[in-house]
Amino acid sequence: MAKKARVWTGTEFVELASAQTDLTAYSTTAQMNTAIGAGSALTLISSTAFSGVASVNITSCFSATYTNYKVLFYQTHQPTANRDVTLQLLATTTPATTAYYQGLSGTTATNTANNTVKNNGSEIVTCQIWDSAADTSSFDMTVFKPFLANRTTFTITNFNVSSGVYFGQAGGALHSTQTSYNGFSLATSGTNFGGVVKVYGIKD
Amino acid sequence: MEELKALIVDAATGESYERPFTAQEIADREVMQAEAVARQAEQDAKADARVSALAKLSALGLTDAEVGALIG
Repeated sequence: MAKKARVWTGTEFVELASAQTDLTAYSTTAQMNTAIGAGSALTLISSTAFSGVASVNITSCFSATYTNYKVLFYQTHQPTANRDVTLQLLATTTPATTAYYQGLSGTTATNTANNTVKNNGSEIVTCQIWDSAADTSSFDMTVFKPFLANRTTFTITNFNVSSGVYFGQAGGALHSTQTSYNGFSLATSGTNFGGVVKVYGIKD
Repeated sequence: MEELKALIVDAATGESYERPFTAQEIADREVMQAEAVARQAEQDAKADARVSALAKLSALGLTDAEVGALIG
């Protein structure tokens, strides 16, 4: 059965009359994007492609607009050393450098355990990159209530290569300081790296 | 040694800029790297111990299936 065409008026969808030929009083592209976005669970806040830097600091991505956030990263450039990609929360541009707790359980492709733990550490390990691989590692992270002055918690899944060994991990992390943060830093040590990092707000 | 740089991105405005790492940032990252090396050494030691244990079980006459059943 044929369905009638509908247009967005700015506040609602209405059926388009067959005689209607002038749509200027109806939707604009911006209004349509607003309408489409209103139904989405995730809203893209920031997308950054980078290379040749040892840290990428995304500021002003956490706000009162959303409580929880999704952060995705995939590697695009080969580093000059085998390194962790670590995360610290930022209050404006000042990193929180203590009180991180983490447990990631992992298994290599050859069925050997590969776990990552932090007990009051200085950062969270998100994934690992290898000096002989350019585009292998990635992680998917959910960040819970970073902008609230509460403890911030994380769930993390990743895939990695380190010294030629492939492995995947899953687990969580905690930053136990009850402070509001508006951003985060991804970093390596002693080498520059490259990738794409995307931040999404999760609809409450 | 390559120059280490930081990229700062303001998600609200879309503005970004690069700057060199500060001496403090380089020192902090070296501490973190030492922690990572220690953790990797621990992982390597566990992997080596596993290989050694499997070899000893095999030397006792256990089949691969029996070893698999034993260690899950």
